[in-house]
Amino acid sequence: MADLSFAGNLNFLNLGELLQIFGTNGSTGVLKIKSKYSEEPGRMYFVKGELVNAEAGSKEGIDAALSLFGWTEGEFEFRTQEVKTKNVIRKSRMEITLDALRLLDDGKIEKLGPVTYAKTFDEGSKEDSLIPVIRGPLVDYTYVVEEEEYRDGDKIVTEGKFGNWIWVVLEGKVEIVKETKQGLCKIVRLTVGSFVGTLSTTMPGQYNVRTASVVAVGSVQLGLLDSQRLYSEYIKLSPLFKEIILSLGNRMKQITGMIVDVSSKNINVKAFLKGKKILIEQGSSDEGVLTIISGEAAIVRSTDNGYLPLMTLSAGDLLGRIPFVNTGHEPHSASVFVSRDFDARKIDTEEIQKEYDQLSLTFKNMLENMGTCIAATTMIVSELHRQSLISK
Amino acid sequence: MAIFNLKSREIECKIVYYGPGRSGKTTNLEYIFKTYKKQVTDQLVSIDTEGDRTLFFDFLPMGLGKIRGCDIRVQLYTVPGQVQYSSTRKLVLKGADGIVFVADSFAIRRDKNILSLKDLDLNLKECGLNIFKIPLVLQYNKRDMSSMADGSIPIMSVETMQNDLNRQLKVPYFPGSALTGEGVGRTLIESLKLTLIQLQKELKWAQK
Repeated sequence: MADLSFAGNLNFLNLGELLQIFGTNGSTGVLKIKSKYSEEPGRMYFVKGELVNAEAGSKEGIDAALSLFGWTEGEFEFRTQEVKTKNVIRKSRMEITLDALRLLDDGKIEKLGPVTYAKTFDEGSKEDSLIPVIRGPLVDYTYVVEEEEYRDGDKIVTEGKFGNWIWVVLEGKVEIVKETKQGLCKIVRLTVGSFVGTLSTTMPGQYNVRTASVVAVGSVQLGLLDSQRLYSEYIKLSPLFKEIILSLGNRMKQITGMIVDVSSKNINVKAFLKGKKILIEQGSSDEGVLTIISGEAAIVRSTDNGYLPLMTLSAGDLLGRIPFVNTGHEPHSASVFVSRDFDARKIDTEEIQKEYDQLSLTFKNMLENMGTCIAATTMIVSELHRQSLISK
Repeated sequence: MAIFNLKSREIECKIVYYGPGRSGKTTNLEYIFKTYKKQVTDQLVSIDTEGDRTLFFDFLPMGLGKIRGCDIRVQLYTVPGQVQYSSTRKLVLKGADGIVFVADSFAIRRDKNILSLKDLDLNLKECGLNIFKIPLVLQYNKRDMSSMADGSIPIMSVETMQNDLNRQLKVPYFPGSALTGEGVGRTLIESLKLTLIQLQKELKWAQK
């Protein structure tokens, strides 16, 4: 094994910049790119600074090199070593870089990340519509107690019924659907690594009514998670961390519920914001996290078509950007309005980050996946809202 | 920020041609590529983007002398102006050592010039650069069109363009015609000069 020469995160140096660095340096060796959304790492081979070959999944050569530009999240390692692979790439590194970035911006290179989009036939409008497909991080099999197979159309979870089970998708796709007055509304599809059911549904003593149905799309393999083990990990958490998990579950539940309100055009912004004043403005960079002591907080997204109410949070819920979960809400993409009797306490984000670092892989994966699902569902709500305004 | 390449004993710096779509950035670079072919060390890379082209090549300018025994290698780029090409723009503008802003003299392009310059300001800020500090040269392109006696294409006077674009910046400016090559060399040389002076200032290198 050759020595590690250079390693880091793609957030800091992206592939385009790496290619320039290796080029300038005239480096010979192998660049390995690891993403948590791909089992196999991608590889690029350099000889005297020029890219000679690449591998990504089943792709090779220039196709692989271009698709690796879609791996915008992840880590890289460069090892200086002799490169014996065939020289199949004849383009200069700058040409590859500039072309790849153009293709990426044009949407012609698929971004490898938590959310992609699939076309689906929408019975309501009799047209194809785009539905987000959410992929989770690589599955941690240690929590899977049983593998279950489902066939196309099988209902795995029924909205309104009770249930405590939680699964992780091992193969195939499932669709989350919700009953509305206009018929079934497809919310998102979940694929490999995503979780069916949220952490709060596994907790005994909670009202575990399923908020949406889950249907298999094609054949699906699910892994049933060990809820006993999840629960025993959960009870060891600090009260604050439990609040985070429950509050995220609440966000998930409420935003899913909004789908019904938006589709039935049952939205009254004035009533929603009545007697409330602004606390966090959309787009601000306030990094603090608050836990609500009393009063109400309304989360609102401002869109081109005015305010869109997303949910109402109350005592015990958290506000602000939790460092390890991205819900796509405040402060960056939503505002917060609070009632007169609102009171909250600032929490120590370093403390919760430390606790997060200690969590098991499955817990971390679940939190990340939950954030992605909340963000994707919020997007669907915004889109339904936009459409309902157009149809008016 | 220029790269000091210890292996090849070269200082690499980056000059970016910026400006509204179709103002003549690409034509500028093509003219330079043709005219200074002997000094060009690499292939011309041309990438088609919607409504515009992104160009890149490497270039060893003669007669600029050496800094501490190192040759100076210049990378010339154009940037696609359209909003959606943010990845390309970021890569190209990041670490730019000098900017040439190519403005369009056509009167109908007046607003486009101003918007593009504002855009440059924002994009530079995103890369941690400052439009007032980075070596910047303006080129008022397509002056050759003024010789069309019939005035079928109204063009702006240099004074108008100065007032629109250069009132606060107060940087060197050149009328030019990238099609005939007029002003292209002068713009480049001025930009190189300013860029190198800035580099020396930043690095406190004494010129040999």
